[in-house]
Amino acid sequence: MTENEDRLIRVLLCELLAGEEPPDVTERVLARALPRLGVGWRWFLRVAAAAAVVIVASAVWLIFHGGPPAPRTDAPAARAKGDYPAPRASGDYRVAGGGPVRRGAAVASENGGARLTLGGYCRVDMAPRSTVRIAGRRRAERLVLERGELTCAVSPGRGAFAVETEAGTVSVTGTEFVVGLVGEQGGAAMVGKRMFVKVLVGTVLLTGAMGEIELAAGEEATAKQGTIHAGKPVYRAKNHPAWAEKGRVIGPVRPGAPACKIEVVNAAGTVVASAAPAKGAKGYELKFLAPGVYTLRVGAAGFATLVVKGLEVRAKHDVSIAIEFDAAGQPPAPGEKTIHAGKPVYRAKNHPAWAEKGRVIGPVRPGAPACKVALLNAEGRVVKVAELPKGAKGYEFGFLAPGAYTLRITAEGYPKLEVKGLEVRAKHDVSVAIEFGN
Amino acid sequence: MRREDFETLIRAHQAELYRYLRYLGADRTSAEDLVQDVFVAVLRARRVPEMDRAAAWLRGIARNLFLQWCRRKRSGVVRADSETVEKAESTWRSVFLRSGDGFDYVEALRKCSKQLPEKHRRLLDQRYGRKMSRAEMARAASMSENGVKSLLRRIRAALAECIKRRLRVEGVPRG
Repeated sequence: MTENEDRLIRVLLCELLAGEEPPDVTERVLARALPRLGVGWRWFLRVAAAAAVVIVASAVWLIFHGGPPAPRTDAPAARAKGDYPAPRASGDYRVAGGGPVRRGAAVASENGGARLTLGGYCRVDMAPRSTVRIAGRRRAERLVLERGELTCAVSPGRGAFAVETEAGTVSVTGTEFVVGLVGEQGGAAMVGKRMFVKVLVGTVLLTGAMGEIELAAGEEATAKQGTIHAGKPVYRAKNHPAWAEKGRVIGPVRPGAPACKIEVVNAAGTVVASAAPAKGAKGYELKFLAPGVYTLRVGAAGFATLVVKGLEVRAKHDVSIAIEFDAAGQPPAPGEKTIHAGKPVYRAKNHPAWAEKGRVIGPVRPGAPACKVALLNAEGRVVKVAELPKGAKGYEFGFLAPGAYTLRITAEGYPKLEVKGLEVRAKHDVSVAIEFGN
Repeated sequence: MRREDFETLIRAHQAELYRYLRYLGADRTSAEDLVQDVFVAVLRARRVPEMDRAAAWLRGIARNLFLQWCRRKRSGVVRADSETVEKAESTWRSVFLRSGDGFDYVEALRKCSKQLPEKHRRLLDQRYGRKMSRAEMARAASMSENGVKSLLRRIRAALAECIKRRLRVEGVPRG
């Protein structure tokens, strides 16, 4: 344990054991910042000037009409001037790091699920073990879904609402929908996250790596996180004296690229250069870099961030790295059938019976058809098979020797799904959730 | 910057900044003051990066202000230079933020501390919950002060190991 890790643990222990909560400095900062925000004496003068104009206009109106204007009774406008409700939570939940439910806080639902109310017009039911961060602002509420599933109901005409995930964003102005985020496995390694959306009432706009699609009530779709690929670094010498002590990172961006951000980060983690190529840009350039070893970071909305470590920048040289965006998350057309597997989750088992064996288990999400789940060993031989009836809620393969396996799920009318490289460990359950999409 | 956006920025990041400054070595009052100074500096900068980059940018401002504060308080107990602060930032990113926002790390610490033997839990509570001095703890536990100090360090090391193990088992990606 390093000294810094030790100090980190000491600070967190103070928070956990002494209830040392971070103070809310918002009001104090705003009080110090008010003049800069234009809310000082200048604001007062503006209000006074506006009041004078209103008084003069009223006097003129009275002179010409002989009476005061009829009082307005548009209650919504009056209500709009009232206090805007703060975010509220109920049910089985906790706030990361403690403190109240407020903007910026991460709220995690426990086994019983929880409900969030935002701005008085967004009701969000969090499925058990979901995590969201409350972002957005007044009348433009926004949640960042980090884990799990939400069912959202938004009253029309009161404000905007959006749920943002690593795989895309769902935005609405009045509707009901379900949105979830699951880890996805398409081979030996995790290949990003997948968001699913099911619209119950109204319409939503789903934005992700694949672009934008509008979904109406009854429709559902998934948006998979796109991937960014980098080519092999190619070095080219530069003889101009301006580059005698510096280097440059450049490269083409393959057609079809979204707006993105490219950063060069030094060994201390500081961003030393960045570029923000626009949508459809054909290349990028990060120049006048001191020689050294850097990390190249490429990010774009709806895509998993690409990190190229150990990139060497040499004096008198360009290093060229091509970048390609793969929006593999093209959502299946409404009605297309798919099988999805969740991210493997390991849980330790202490019973002596499992001292040398492991288990593969998992829930099957509601609405599953009859299906066959097979477990294949490293040689590709089927070692266990489970025939699950329609509506089955889970499966289990017990007493497995530790090693790498493949989980194969087949069902009539669905394309086969294989989860390769699934590691079975002694004294552990590995849980892989299965879900069927229609 | 609009007042609403500024308020949202403060509310979104003040808790993490406070924790970060405490971690760098600021005492509670100073950390609170420095958090305020960070946001006033943001206003002077008149630009805010995108939300996903804002946290790192704010931490950068906090580090600079913390170093200035250390220089002003040269006679105090906190000693830090830019190198140690950068190392602390590196640990913060690689250890605490490896799961994104530190949420899983705090949760893992909470669970690990519950698994500790009763005696160790009591010592942690005395030291970090009730803020007892090591001398008081030594008297209460019939130990030497150095004994208490090294035992606390061993407990924290055990917690660090437990957190690492737990984050590995629960599948949190490494940063």
